[in-house]
Amino acid sequence: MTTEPRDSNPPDGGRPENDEILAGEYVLGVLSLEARHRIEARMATDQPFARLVARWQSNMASFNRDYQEQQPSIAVFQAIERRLFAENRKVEVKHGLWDAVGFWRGLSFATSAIAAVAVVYIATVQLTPPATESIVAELSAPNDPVALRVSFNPADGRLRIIPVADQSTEKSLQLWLVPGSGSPTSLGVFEPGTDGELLIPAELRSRIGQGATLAVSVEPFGGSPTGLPTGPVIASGSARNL
Amino acid sequence: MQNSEMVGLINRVAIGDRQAFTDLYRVTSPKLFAICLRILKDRGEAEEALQEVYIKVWQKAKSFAIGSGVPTTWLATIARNQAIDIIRARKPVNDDIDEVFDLADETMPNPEQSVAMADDGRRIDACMGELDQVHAQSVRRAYVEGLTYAELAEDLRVPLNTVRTWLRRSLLKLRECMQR
Repeated sequence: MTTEPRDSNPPDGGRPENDEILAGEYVLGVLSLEARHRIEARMATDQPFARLVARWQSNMASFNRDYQEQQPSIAVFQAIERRLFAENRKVEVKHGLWDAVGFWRGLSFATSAIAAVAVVYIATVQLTPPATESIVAELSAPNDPVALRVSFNPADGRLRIIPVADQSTEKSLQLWLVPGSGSPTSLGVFEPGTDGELLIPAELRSRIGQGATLAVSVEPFGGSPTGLPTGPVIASGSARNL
Repeated sequence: MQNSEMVGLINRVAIGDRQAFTDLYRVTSPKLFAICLRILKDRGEAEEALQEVYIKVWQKAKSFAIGSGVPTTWLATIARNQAIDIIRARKPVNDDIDEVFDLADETMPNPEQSVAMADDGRRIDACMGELDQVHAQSVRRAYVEGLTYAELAEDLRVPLNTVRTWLRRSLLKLRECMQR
């Protein structure tokens, strides 16, 4: 063991090794509850520090082998389900094109009025319902940032399901290409009121192939301001050839 | 269960899939319960903690970011944090006077330089082997049992400050070793 360093410098809270130790102590669990809360608050705003913590968590994860599996009693899961699902999280279904999710979001009243007139005009001159007129429902659950927009075209019998950001929050869903290492690349933002198609920039097309990881995150309306995912990732998965 | 399957389950939980939640619980609860039980040392308390753990899993599944990688680590972290918060609340610690340390004689590479996030554990095992055996055991027991410096000191019959220095120095040595 080396000797205790006793330098005469004043304590310096900004030294990287101090943060390294603090992050390690937090992950070990030796700190007080107050210190733990302080650290968690700091992690929320200090990304480099949060990375130090995450790295210790990852490094020390092999110690988890020491925990020998034990079966909890069946009552535990029953209690969890009761607590999470007791108030019957009913799926909310909204009918009609006019209150369809995000359909009119972002459009000013004036634009909406013009669009409405246009739809009515088309409907009148054709005298038959246009083939593109669909029945739309938004399927959502309380507190979920994502909803499913279902559109059904009675004319051809096609039903289409598109994920959209929850209507009550001004959010967008953004699709990312996630490389094995390095930062995710945006493939585009799902525009409300479209059919869920994204046009992939030409230079990125070759990168979407077998094994590519795609992820969808919830972002501020219009897409991530930073060019990297900022919101929770609600889904991710690998691409494969069909 | 493969990590990729578990990631799939967590992603389905994130979009509110209750069946995926049930499956995830079935697969992972024995381990997470073991964590709670080991740290809290009381079956009733551990079962209550386990409830909180899975409530959080349901609520936080959406934040399980692609970058944060290993699902078992993510789950174990939620369980350890829950259990440790409970015992720290029950038995307050009043000995972490300082968050400023005085034993830095090494320079630490910055975190971006190390991308060894998906550690398979062999590395830390090797680095633990380089520590003094008593120190390595202290590090491991602090982690696994959720002990405080004071509890370790009492157990090992050494002054609290000595244990604290051991562990902090061990952390620096581990970090240095893992980045070698």
